[in-house]
Amino acid sequence: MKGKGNYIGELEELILLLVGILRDEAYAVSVLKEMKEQTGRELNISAIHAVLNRLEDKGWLYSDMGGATEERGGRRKRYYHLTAAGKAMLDEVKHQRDQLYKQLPTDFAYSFFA
Amino acid sequence: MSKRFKHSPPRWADWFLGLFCNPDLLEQLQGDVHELFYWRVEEKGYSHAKWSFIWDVIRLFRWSNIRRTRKQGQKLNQIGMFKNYFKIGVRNLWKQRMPSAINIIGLSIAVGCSIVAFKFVEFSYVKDNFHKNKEDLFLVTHWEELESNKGRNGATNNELTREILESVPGIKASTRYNRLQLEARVNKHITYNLTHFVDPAYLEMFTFELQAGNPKTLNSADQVVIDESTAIRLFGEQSALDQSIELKIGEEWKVFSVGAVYKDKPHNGSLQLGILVNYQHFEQHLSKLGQDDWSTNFFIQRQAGIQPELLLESMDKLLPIYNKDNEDGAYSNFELEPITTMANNAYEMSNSIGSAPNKAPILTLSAIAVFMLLLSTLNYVNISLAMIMKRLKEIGVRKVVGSPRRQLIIQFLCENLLLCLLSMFVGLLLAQGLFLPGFNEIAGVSFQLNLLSHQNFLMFLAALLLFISLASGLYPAVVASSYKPISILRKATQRGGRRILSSVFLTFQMILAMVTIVAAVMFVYANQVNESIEWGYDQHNKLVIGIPESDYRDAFRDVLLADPSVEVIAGTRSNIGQSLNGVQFKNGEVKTYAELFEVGRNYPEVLGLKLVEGRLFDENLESDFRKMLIVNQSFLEDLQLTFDPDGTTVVQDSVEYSIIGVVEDYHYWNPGMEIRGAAMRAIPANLYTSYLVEMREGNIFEHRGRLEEKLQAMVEEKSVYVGIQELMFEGFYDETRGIGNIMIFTASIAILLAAMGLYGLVSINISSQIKDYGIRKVLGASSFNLAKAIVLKFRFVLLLAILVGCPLAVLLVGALVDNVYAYAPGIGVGPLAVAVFILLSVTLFTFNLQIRRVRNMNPAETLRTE
Repeated sequence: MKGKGNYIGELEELILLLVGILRDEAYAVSVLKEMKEQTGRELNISAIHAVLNRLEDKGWLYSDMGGATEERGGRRKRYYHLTAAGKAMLDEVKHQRDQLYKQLPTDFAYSFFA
Repeated sequence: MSKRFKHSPPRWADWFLGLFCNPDLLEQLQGDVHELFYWRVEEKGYSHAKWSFIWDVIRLFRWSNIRRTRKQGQKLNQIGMFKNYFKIGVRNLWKQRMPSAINIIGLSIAVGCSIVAFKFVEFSYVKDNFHKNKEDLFLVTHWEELESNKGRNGATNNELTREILESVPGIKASTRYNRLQLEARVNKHITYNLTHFVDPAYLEMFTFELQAGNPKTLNSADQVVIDESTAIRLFGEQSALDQSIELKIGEEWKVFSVGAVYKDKPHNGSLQLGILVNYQHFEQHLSKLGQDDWSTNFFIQRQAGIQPELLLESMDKLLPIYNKDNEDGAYSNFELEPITTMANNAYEMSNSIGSAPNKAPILTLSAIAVFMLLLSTLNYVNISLAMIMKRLKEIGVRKVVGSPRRQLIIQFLCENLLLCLLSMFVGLLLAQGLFLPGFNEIAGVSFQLNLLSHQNFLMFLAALLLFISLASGLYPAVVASSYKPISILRKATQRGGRRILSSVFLTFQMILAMVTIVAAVMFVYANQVNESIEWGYDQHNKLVIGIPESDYRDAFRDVLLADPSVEVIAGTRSNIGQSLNGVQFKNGEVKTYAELFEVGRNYPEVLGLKLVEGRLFDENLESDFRKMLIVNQSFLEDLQLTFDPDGTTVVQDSVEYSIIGVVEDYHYWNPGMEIRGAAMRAIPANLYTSYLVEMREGNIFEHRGRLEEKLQAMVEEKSVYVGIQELMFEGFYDETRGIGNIMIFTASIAILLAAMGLYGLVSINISSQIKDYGIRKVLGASSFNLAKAIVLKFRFVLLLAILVGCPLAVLLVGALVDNVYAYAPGIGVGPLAVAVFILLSVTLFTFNLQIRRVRNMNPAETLRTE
């Protein structure tokens, strides 16, 4: 799926980062909880599924099934892992940000008439 | 198990997730929401977790998660094929032009007929639906105890309407509604107009289209509202607005000005416009007559949302007090009649508004439409079956390559839909250009097609399209797709079974054609019989002249008597053939309704009634004015009397009359009505309202023109009416001629369709056996021999059609003819023989067209190739 190509959205970037942070424990619910802890944002599970699917389609994540637990009624989870392309994307985004950030005027301040 | 498992997620939400979710995704999604649920139970408690769970499930209901059929790929592919189906369809239509044309012509005629029938049925049943407030409008009716049973009455006591308005909450607006036939004077010219008295709310409650003027006109008592056709009639070309108009209400001329002109009411409206006058004039008129108690139609508009039951409850509370004062006409209870059903229920109440539809024409037209649809779809099925036989190879190859049967059926249905769409289009054109104008002419209506704005009609068309494309296409498609490819490609096609079905269809078509032909022949015959019926008197050479006002009575008489072309004149109050006056007569216990006409003493003689017993009135006997009757024979029969020269008496309205003469039954009304008892009473000359004039030889139209001119010159203001006695029933005859024409048209179309079906079948039959005929020819068969071989195949079809068609026609057509005519001739052998003859000659002609092909064929051409 090509779609929007290599463009990455803000939420996508955030979730990609979280999946990277969680390493082998990244699945939809853990991403949701981690996001709430780290950023205070509480998303709906459906939104997280949608983003994870999209990221997988774009090739930045890969997934496998496993890890059934009692509270899931014995159902397996879909674990997500960062791919090399995903890591590269995160690097590129960070690089871009930094480049742009550096160009901010140092004496930046809000001015009504500016 | 830990304590957090004592709660479980809401079962139905879990079930719903399982229901819609793609099975491949179900495990992880369900696991996730369950895990979240138990997490939330710990964090925020059960209730919160429960609602969050439900919310999660709802949010998961999105396109990417929803279960889809596994055949997704194949289905998409098929949608892509639809374009090709239609392309193949068009090519097939073109390749088989003759059968396609037969199908399209047949179907489009049927569609055209159905459209006319639909228009008529809708027109008859959908009434008063154009009012914006139709949901809230009701006619107040009540039930009352009659002598024998309960009756329903659509008119309410005027006092009671006032009390209802005072004490019943929830009524937003109301109007009373009474009518009078009034003389209206405009520019010194007097005409008669039906005038309605209404309250000012009338035009706000009901929706009529304003053409010019002030919609609040009725608020002022000295202004009136008229509709467009009245405006044109009274004022001609000039604008009617602000013109003055005088109305004679009671004995008093009142002057009004026209405050607003409305467009004429829609055809399906029961409430009239004409001339509308403020109700207070009606009240004044009645109080001058000394009447303080009367009934009126009473309409109310409820406040939106109020239940009619509530209104009824508080209305019924008024009744005990009312009934105490009015024991004779005691009300049992009220009932609110919604305005949209008012007309259709009109037959079950007295003083109703609007009229219920007449069932006979509705049934007839629907039957015609259904006949046509059946004929043309059967044609279609037969011809398509035969056509598909030519495409068996295509089907075989398609199947071998792997087409599932469903795909083939869908393909055939698509081709079929194309043809049906084409037929619908042609049918619409036919209806618009030919059938509707023709029908409008005959039925005296003005139906039009308004495709876009007419929702019912669009729904009807869609249903019709669905019906004809499935009815005509499904069976051939199923049959064609059922062949085994191996038997098709081996050329061992099974034919026998289908042919029997084709013959059954053809027989059925022939029977329908037979019935319609008999109907047409019967109607033409019945028309002839009715038009040459004896009227019971001499209707020729007679004029009827109305006396505009009593002042002219003597002057008219003198002028008429002095005219050289006038043979004799007779004064009368009732014009035989023009007016009825049914009253109840009693002979002891025997009661019956009969007509009572008031005529001058020489009227029966001038009219030419044929005396059977006793005598007619004597012009020199003053005593004949006193309670003497001349009756017809039916009168005696109905009242179980025998004539006695010494005095036979009968009671009417507690007056005893004696019968002095008996005449033969005569048609005092058109032949659509059976003659019943009729009596004549003599009145003195000062009560005459018209003259019957017998003319000497000459052209009756010229006589009429001359007399009309002469008399009109004497009269100011009013128009003089001069009618021709012979033409009194012309309206009825026109109508029956119209029905006759519809029947002839139907029969022609039916036989055309049946003939086309036959033509198509014979043609295909010959084509498939062309080698057979070629060999016969080579062996020296004569053309008679060839024809015999073809005709014999269809002999049973024809025989059956005639054997079954005749009794069926007698049954169906007999009922219809009896409904239209009171004096219908029975279906004799004559009409049936004519019908059989027509059917046979058309079929033979059709055969001949095809046999010629065989006769002229060169056998070498057909036998040259295998």
